[in-house]
Amino acid sequence: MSNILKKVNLNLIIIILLLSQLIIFIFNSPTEITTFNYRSDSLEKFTTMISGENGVDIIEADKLIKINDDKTLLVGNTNLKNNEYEISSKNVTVDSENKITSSLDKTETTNHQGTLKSEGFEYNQDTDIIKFNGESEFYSNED
Amino acid sequence: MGKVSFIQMKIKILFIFILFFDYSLSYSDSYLKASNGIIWDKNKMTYSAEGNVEFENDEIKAYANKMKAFYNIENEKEVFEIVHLDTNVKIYYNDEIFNSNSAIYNKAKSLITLYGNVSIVSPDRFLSGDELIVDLENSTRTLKTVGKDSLAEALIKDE
Repeated sequence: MSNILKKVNLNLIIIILLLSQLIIFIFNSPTEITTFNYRSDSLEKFTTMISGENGVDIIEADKLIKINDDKTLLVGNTNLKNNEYEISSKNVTVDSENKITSSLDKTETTNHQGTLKSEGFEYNQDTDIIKFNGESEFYSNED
Repeated sequence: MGKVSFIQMKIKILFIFILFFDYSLSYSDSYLKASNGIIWDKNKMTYSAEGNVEFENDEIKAYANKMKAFYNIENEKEVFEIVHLDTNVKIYYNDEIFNSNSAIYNKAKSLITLYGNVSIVSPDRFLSGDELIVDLENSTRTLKTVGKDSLAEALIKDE
C-alpha cells in the first residue's frame, strides 16, 4: 500500500514539476516581438553604366550599400566618370529623391580644362552644378 | 658603321626630347585656389570661388574675396576668357600692384578694368582714383577720378 502511495506521489510530483515548467515557459516567453526592417542590400566592387542625356555615366565603388529606396552609399574609393569629367572620392552618398550626389571626403575632379582638388563635393543633378567644398585648388591647362 | 648608328640614335633621342619639350611649352597653366570652395556651373560655363581666392595665369596674379571666371571651349578644351573679381581685389602684374573694390580681367583683350578705391602701386609711383583701365597689350593705364580729368599714361617697354 505504501509502495502504491509512493508511486502516486512521485507521479504527482513529476506532473507538478512538468506543469510548473510549462507555466514558467509560457509566462517567461517574450511578449513583445521586435522586427527589424533593415535591408542589407550591398555589393562589393560595384560598377555600373548609366545612359543619360549627356552620354554614359560610369560609377565604380569598392562597395555599394542601399540604405533605403532613396539613398545609396558608395563606400570606399568611388569613381564617377562621364564624357565631361571624372570625380574620384570616398564614401559618396547618392540621394535619388533630391537628386544630389555628395561626399565629405577629399575629392579630385578632372575635366577638359584641368584638375580640381577639394575637401568634398556636392553634385545637383537638376541644376547640373557641382560644388567643391572647403579648401579647393584648380590647376588648368590652357592652350 | 657602329659610330654612325650611335650618332643616329643620339639624333633620335634629341628629336624625341625636343618634341616633348615643345609640347609641354604649348600649354600655359592657370591656377585657382579658394578657401571656401569652388562652384562649377556647366550650363553657364563658369567657375565661382569664395573665401580667400587666388588666381594666377601667365599674365597676372590676383587675390580677392570672390571670383567668377567665365570660360569658353576651344579645341575641346575649356579656356578662361573673363574673370570677375570682387571685394579686396589685389592684382599683381610685373612690378605693379593694382588695388580696388572690384575688377574685370579680359584675357582675350589683355585688359583689366578696376572699379572703386582704385590704386596703382609700383616702385616709382602711387596713383589712386575711382576707375582704372589697364591695357596689358598696349602698356597703357587710364585712371579716372570723379570730378577730375582722366589721367592716362603709356609705359615704355624695355627693348
